[in-house]
Amino acid sequence: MGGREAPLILASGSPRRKALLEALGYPLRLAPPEVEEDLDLPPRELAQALARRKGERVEGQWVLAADTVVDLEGEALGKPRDREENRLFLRRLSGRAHLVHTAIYLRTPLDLVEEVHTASVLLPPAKRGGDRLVCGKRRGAGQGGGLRRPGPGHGPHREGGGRLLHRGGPSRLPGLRPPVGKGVPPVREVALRRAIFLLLLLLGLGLSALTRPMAPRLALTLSPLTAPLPALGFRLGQNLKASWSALLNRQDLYAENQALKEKLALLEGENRRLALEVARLERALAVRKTQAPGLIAVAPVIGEDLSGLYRRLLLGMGERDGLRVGMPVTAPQGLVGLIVEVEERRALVRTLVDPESLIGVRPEKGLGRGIARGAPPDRLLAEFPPSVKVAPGDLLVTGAPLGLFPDGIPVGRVERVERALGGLKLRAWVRPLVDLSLLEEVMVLRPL
Amino acid sequence: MRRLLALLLTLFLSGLLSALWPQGLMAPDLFLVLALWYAQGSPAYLGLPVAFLLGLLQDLLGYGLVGLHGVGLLFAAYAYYAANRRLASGESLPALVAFAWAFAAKWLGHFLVAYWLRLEIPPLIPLDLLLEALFTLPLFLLARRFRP
Repeated sequence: MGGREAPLILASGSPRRKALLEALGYPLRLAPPEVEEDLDLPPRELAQALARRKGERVEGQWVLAADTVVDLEGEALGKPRDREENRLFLRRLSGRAHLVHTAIYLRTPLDLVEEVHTASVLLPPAKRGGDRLVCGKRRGAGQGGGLRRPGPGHGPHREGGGRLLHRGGPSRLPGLRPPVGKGVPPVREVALRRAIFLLLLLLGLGLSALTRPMAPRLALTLSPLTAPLPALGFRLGQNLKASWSALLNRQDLYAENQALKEKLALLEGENRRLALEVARLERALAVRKTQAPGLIAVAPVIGEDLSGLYRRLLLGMGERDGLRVGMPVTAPQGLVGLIVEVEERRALVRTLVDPESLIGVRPEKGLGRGIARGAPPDRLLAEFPPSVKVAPGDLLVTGAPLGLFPDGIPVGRVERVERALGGLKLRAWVRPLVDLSLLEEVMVLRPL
Repeated sequence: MRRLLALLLTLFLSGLLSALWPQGLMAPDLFLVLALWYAQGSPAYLGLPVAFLLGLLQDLLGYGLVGLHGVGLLFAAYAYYAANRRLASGESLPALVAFAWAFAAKWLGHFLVAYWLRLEIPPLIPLDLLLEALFTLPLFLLARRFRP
């Protein structure tokens, strides 16, 4: 079968047949077929028919099938139904010569070979021999083995039974030979394997004992021969490991960068908040310096009355923060108004443009006093005696005629001046310096 | 040619694994896989010497005692042949049994050499053996799919 490319298909489930063929070095594929064995034929023809039937059931280019039948004086011994029948068969065979017909069926792309080989076997009468046979049958029973067809490795003419024959002598009878003739006989194969094993074992033990004193040096001396390929793999493995490590580190850097960015955003937010706080404190300081030393609190503006009737602001601080009714409220630009109501956490400011607001004012650079009333939505109306010199563009600041505001807080600029009551009064329209709608926080001063 | 390629691949993979495998963890025995793969498709009079030589090569590569793995793989191949003779081939369970048998035989061979040389026999840690067998088994099953 040299030059054959397709594997040999063994139409049998017998591990013994497989082992024999593998021992010869043939690549194999097992394809055990399911065949009916109910033919009523003489033993020799039965073996041939069954082998042919098996082979024909399997497709392929190279198919090998075999079947073995035990022939006891012309009677084919069938597969025992149970252990009792098995013992019965063995008793019948014990001490008697019988024939074992082994038929082979070999189909190749070019040829078809069918042969039947017959061996004469004599089982020794001893009971122990029978027990061994029973054991052999058990092993093969699951794979279609039986006394009628004691396939390779199962039957009395095989390893167990063959030994019995050999010891008993009848194996030398003419015609006795292994059914598959040209391979290595199993007994010889086993012996060969054991011999090789023992030889190599002794060699290995001897080598280990001899080379023990020079164990590392010997390997080092031979390493130029043995090491290059593993070293290549090792180097590649190290590079892969380093790459993986670098990849992981890069992922770490990415995560660290993300964390730093988040931290930076937090810090920037904090910085903005602190800058605002500083600006607020600076404004408060400016107020303290310029307007009044008695600064009570810097309060946020949280609401505004836009009804049109009143111009009032709602502060986010109240009685709990020390705010009281009557406290002046200012901004860095100028006067805002006066606290008129206080709750626990809120306070209401009547602004200088509220219609109920009355503020004592005076020109910043001139003499005389007047009273400024609120004129919603965004003006004040100040009245002065006709002797007071007031002109558009003049800055009005708080005086202290009513005792509500500290002196000198800027209030607004005069837009126009008119005479009233037949010239008995001067009436000035004033635009406040503080834009109430833009206020975010105000300073609350100690009341006078 | 296939067998030579398998040997070269084994040598390469053994180096690769030694770099990548975690320190202290039992690695799969690639040479055992190669020896059993070779034994699977070869008669014993070839498979046994090849297994022995592979073991010697493994000893040299590991800078260890020459003969330790040689005897170990010899035992493994012998046990594998013995198991294959008794078990139906082509099925998974017998293949597992044959592998387990060969694996145990390999370690028996190692201990025999250690005893022969009166070496200090390391403590047998069943978990290590189990891990090595578990790591080697998939490679063995994979190798079985490819005929030598």
